[in-house]
Order: sequence, then structure tokens, then C-alpha cells
Amino acid sequence: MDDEHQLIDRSQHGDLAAFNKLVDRYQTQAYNLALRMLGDEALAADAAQESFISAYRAIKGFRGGNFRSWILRITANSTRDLLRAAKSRRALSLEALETDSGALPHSSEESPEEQVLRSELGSEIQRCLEALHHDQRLALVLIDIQGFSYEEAARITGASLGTVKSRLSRARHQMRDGLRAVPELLPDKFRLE
Amino acid sequence: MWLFKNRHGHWQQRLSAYLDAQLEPLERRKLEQHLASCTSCQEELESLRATVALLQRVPQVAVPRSFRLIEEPMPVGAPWTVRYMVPLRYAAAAAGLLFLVVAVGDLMTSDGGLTGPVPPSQEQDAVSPSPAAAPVTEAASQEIEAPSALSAVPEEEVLPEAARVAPSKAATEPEGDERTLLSRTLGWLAAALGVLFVALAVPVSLQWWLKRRAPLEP
Repeated sequence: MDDEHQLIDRSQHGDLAAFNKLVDRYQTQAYNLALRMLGDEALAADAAQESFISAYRAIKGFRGGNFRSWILRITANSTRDLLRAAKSRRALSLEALETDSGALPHSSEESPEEQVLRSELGSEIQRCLEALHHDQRLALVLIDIQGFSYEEAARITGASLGTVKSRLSRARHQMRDGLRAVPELLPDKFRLE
Repeated sequence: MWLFKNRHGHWQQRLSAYLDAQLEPLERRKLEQHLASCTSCQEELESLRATVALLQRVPQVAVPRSFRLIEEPMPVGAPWTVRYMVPLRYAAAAAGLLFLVVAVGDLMTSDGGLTGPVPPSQEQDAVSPSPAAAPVTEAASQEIEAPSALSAVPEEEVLPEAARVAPSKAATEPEGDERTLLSRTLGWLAAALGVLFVALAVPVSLQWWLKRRAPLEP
């Protein structure tokens, strides 16, 4: 973490190489957040790139705290802006959102039929995510998919802890209802009866 | 019945937080008491638990490329002169080119310009009076030479007019030379400025455009 403070300090003094080390450290999380929020690989890459460019521009104003939360907050804002722009252009069609990037990991003894189901389930999860309100989706992606704590999710979203709990609760109920519509895709132990 | 449903909904809204141990101890104990006697809420809790478990299995995806920056991005809050530097460069290049065209055109069409001496007919037009005025000028010279004889001729009213033409023309010739010299100087200055504009704006704009095409590392 001390190393991170040094990298941030050097970045604030215009050291691009130091900033790029921070990019290396957080680009996977930023990209995955954008991917789950947008559902499109190209748009997610654009959002991640934009967020790092914005972060570099704004890093002199970073006054300590959790750098990961800060960078992911910028990413979340980038995805919100991209979604607004895409919706206004009607560029995001459901077909474009159906990627296999949400495919779940498979075991070696998985049959071809099971692989197809797993891939379809990944697409279905992404489709259900897209149906959520942006703020609810953000809370669910951060906590359930990316594994952040409630506190960090609150920092990233800029909302209070109570608001995050409320958004997450609604998002989980809606996801559960959405997945109930495709019981044939769910593994036995995840059947939502 | 309404009270039961409302109470039921109250607990279902807290199941998500209960799953993550986010409830206060007192509220958690009350919910557990409710769960012990409510199969509907138990099923609700299990379905939420399964949903969360499924979402936790969604894998992290590897980045398709590095998002490192290869150059410092232009600051957003920069002065307008910086933000509009590129359009200004293009405008400068266009203005320079236009200036060059006008200046060269002016030089080629003006007296003593790049095309050399003016053709004889034009030269005559420029230096001597018009053919129509020529006899009058001759008469004027006669009048100057013999002013006493003019008082008797009928052209009395025309001659003073003609007499005014010749001296005034003679007086403007040195001024015309100065204007030509000034025009040529300004023309060359304009041409030099135009070349300077183009020489500065085109390479810089080209460099910016090439950088913009590949601002990021592959």
C-alpha cells in the first residue's frame, strides 16, 4: 500500500510510468465493472480507457483515501455516461448485449450440452443485469459479482450504506425473478423454487 | 391479514442484508424468530441465497488489451486557446493559404508585378491621358504657351478644363509610383506570411492527427 501511495504521489507530479503501474493494478476490475454494467466488450473497453484518462487528468485532485474506490467510481460514471449516450443513439440493442463474456466457468467433465447451457446462462444473467436500474445494477455488480464490501460499494457509488443495502436488496429480488423465468438453464443446486 | 402481509414484506426486504450479516443484532434475532415460523420467508431467503451464489460464480474476464496511457492526455479544463488549438491551426492554415492566393494573384495582376512590364497599350493608358483628352491637352499646351490668344476662340469654356487635366496628371505620377512600391511590398509581405502560416500549421496539425489516431498502447 505504501508502494501505491508512492505511485499516486509520482503520478500527481506527472510521472506517467507510475500512473501506468496503477493502471496495470486496477484495469481488470475497471474493465469487468464496465463489462457487467454495459454488456458489450467494445463499449466496456472504451469506458475503462476513458476512466483511466479521466483519472490521470484528475489525479492531482486526489486527496488520499482508497484509490481503488476512486478509480472504480470514475469507471462507474463513465459507464453511466456511455449508457446515456448509447441509449440516446439507440446503439445498444439486445442482440449486441448478448455476449458470451458472462459465461460461467466449466468443469472438465462437462458435456457439450452442459457447455451450451452454461453459455446461455451467462447470457441470461447478463440480460437480467441489463433489466435492472443502473444504480441497482451497480450495487449488485460491485457486491455480488466483484465481491466488494458494502462500505467500499458505498464509497464507489457515492451513496450511503443504507441506500446501498436497499438497492442491493431490490436488485437481488429482481435478478431472482428474472432467473426464475429460465429454470431449465439453472444448475440443480441453484434451482430457485 | 393486511397487518400480516405488511409485516411479511418488512422481513422480506431485510433478507438480503441478513444474508450478508448486515443487520443489527436485535433486528437479526427478530428476523430469525420470524423465519422459524414462516415458510414463505424461508423459501424467499433460500432463493435469494441461490441467486447470490450464482452471481458469485460469474467469472472475472481478462482485459482485451492494456489500458495504459502512452502520452499525457490534454487537460479538460485547459484555457480555450489550448482546447481549440487544433481547430485554430486548421483555420490558420486555411487563412494562410487564402492569403497566399490573394497575394500572389495581386502581384501577378498589378503594375510591375511578377508578370513584368505592363503591355504597351495599358502603359499608354496609365501614363498618357485618354485619346479623347489628347487634342484637348494639345490645346491646353497651346493655351499655356499663348494664353493671350485663347480669349478669342470659341473653346474658351473647354480649355480651362483641359488645362486642369494635364497638370494634375503630371502631379500624380510620382504618387502612383509610391503606391505601386507599397502595393508590391505589402504583396510580398502577405505572401511571406502565408508561407509562414502554412509551414507552421500543416506539420503541427499532421503531427496532432497522427497522435490522435493512436493515443493508446495496443
